[in-house]
Amino acid sequence: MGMVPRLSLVVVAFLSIFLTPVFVVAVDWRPVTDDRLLKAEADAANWLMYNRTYNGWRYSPLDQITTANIKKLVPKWIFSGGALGEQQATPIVNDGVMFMTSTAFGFNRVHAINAATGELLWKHERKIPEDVAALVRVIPHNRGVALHNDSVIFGTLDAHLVALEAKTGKPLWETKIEDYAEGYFVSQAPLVVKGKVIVGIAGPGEMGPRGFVEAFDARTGKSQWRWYSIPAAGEPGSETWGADTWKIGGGAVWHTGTYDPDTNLLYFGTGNPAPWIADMRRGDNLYTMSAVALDPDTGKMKWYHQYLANEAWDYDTVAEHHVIDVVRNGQSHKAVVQANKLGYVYTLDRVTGKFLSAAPFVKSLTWGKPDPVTGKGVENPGMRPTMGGPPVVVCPSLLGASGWQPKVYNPKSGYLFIPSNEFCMRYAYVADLTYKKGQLFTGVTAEHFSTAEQAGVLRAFDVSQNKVVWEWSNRTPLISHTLGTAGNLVFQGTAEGKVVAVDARTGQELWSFNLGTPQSGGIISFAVDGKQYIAVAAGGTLRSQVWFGKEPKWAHATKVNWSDLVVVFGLSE
Amino acid sequence: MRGAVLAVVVLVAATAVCGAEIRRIRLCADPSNLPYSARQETHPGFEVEVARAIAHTLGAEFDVHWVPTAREVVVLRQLYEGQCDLFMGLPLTPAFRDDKPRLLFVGPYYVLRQAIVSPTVGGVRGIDELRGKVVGVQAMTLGDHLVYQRGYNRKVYRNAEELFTGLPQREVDAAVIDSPLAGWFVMKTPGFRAVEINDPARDLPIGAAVRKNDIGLKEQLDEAIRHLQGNTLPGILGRYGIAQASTPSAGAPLSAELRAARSTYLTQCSQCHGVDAKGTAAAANLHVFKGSEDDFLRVVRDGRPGTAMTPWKGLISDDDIRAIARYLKQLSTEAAR
Repeated sequence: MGMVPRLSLVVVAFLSIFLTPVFVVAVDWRPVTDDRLLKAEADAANWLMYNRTYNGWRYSPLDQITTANIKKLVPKWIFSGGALGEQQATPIVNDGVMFMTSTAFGFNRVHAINAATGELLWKHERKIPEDVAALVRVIPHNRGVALHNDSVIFGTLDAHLVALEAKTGKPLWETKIEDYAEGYFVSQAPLVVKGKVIVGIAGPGEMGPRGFVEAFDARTGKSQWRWYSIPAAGEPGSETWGADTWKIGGGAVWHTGTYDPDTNLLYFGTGNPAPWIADMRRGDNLYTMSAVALDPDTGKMKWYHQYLANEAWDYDTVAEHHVIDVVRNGQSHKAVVQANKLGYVYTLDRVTGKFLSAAPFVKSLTWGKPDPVTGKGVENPGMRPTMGGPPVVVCPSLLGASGWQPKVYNPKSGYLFIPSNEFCMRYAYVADLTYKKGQLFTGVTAEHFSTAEQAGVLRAFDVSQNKVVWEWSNRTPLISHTLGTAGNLVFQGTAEGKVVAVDARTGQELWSFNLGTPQSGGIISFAVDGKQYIAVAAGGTLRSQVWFGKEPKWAHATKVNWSDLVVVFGLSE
Repeated sequence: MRGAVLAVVVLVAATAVCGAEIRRIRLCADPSNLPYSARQETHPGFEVEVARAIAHTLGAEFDVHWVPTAREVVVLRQLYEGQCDLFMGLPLTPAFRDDKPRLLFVGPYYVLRQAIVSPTVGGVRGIDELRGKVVGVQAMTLGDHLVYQRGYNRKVYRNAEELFTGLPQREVDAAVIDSPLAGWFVMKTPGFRAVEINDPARDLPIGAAVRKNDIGLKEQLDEAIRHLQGNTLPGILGRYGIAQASTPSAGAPLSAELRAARSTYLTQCSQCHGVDAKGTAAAANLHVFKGSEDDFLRVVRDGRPGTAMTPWKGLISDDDIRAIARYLKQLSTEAAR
């Protein structure tokens, strides 16, 4: 910290589009250098990137708020972002300034907020063309910004990457990543590694042709490299796509990756292949449904491990790969650990990609299981739908045993906290004869339901023992966020609109607060002037409401109104 | 400006039409989407020509508001907001209609089918001959799905241009694609021919749409299309290589209810019972079902234990099952004729 020049700055509100009152707030702002990002773990007061640290742990070392004083946790301020639902962003905090995005059909917004008071410092709004692709219109969302030096960087619904001046919100540069008319967009929070902004693209799998990860110079926005998740004709792996379907193969990379400075590798999970009808793309469909390790300097793939070949249920394996050193069979391994939609906690050697182990973390699991030696998915017969045939019942639902909602790792206890789901779906391929000028003609129908009374289960998974050690249950599935802190606390949001705190050692519920709107965005912890805060982004998503659909057990949650809030809690004084 | 060129063809003939007089029809069309529409004189596209002929029949002025149509939301918004009065080329399927409550539908004025394009010499005469060949398709279209379902050897292209580039270079033996695209390609490319595939399940009646409140306009447009059925319409379509110009079913036209029932039947039942409902190795011939509508409902709802006929209760509503029964009855009556 000592080497970084400490500048006392005056943050002046600047609005790129609208004129609004100008707030002037003095803040001690230090540039978010590459070195600070590398050492983010020790920077207890701040939450400098999407998963807080490169290793993807989402664990705050702050310990002022504890199991002993949690009853004194009260709301301190509330910020409204002005959108209506689809609030999936994680707030980012540097030296007393919080950066938060709000998104709707029509705009991407970034807000800079005084993290101690909730005052708006500046707001940037980017208009988004109305002719963005179907999925973007249905679920317009953004998961947050990245910081680098004095800039705030975010991806847009029209597939651009934009950098703003952190102090003022003034635009610095913008880069068109791809043509949004092809169905591409950016939803993930970018990751900055060694001066490069690393972004995975969303859209392919449902709309766009091929997924990719791309690196941009953080100072200029200039593209450095692009790695496609689907090999083109002639490249190794393209033979795993029948009928040249690699051209539209999907494999979106829509979730923020992790990074290990020791191996100098980025770890990404890739999404489902396209089209959804698996038989129309015979073969393994590399590198969809895989873990991939990329060299951040060149974009070259070092290794891959495919979790499931020729995937048929939209079980994207995009969840973050936690960088953890684990012991398996008495041997210590540099590993990555992923708890994904397939319902297993997978452990891979992060140097070589070699499969080490897989252990289930949900009970509602019928699609099949990983081979114990290779880790490749082995399907149970009869689980694939047939074209126009009656629905098959398969578990989990396509929202996954644990989907995009980030998992949390506590390095002291070695527990991985997994917001998980006990649910299934009735899943069918529909030969929809509707024709819309070259648009998608074929879809699936999925009805989510649960045989369990409590479908949402927060589970503490002991990574070294490879098993679940405690559970905390909720009526609706947990398509919401989790936070772990050094105060022996785990915070968990629900679609009913609650945020609860449980004892990290036992799962016992200690505190809860009704947000009045579904919890759906990130939950983080930060400190300003020595005081610890918990920030909860809420507002709801289509997933938590409409997609709960016809399950009567979840009807109560579908009535909770959408919103777009950040609620910040601190200890009462 | 090419829009003005089209305005030259504006017809101010004072032909009286019944009801309120339509003075002007403005079409929303894509400036570059042949054979459908294009901002040029020699081949403005068959959609533009059909719309112009309709306007002529109604004695209305005609012009075109050019707008890219690849994004449906954009062009429909132009229509809703009054930038134009008419948009051509929409499928008149129940699913599509239900999805667009702000529109009134007109037509159909032709039927879009899937067509096989192959070299004239040594080419393909029917779909069965595609077996063992490499068939080019446009990804995720009706043609792609058809070739896939047949189990033939597909090669996927991202768009029609790429497919029509690969075909003359013999990357594929044949292509299966929408009939207007097939017809247009064959007209421009010597040495290739197009054969329409006779598959009623994939026939798409194509019509046009106006704003929901323009009921008078819709009625007059429908009247004009009927008037043009005889010569003008086939003539225009023929100029673009589209042979098929009449609605498909030779029998009695289906009511809206039975069209919906047909769609449900085709999506839910035809995989086992066949598109003609005459049964397959897997399932019964439904033309010989002797029971009442109530019996039919009971069998479909509860299934036939011990057979592949699973219960459809909760998947298809009772009303829809009854509608399917009535659709099948009409189908059997026609087949018996």
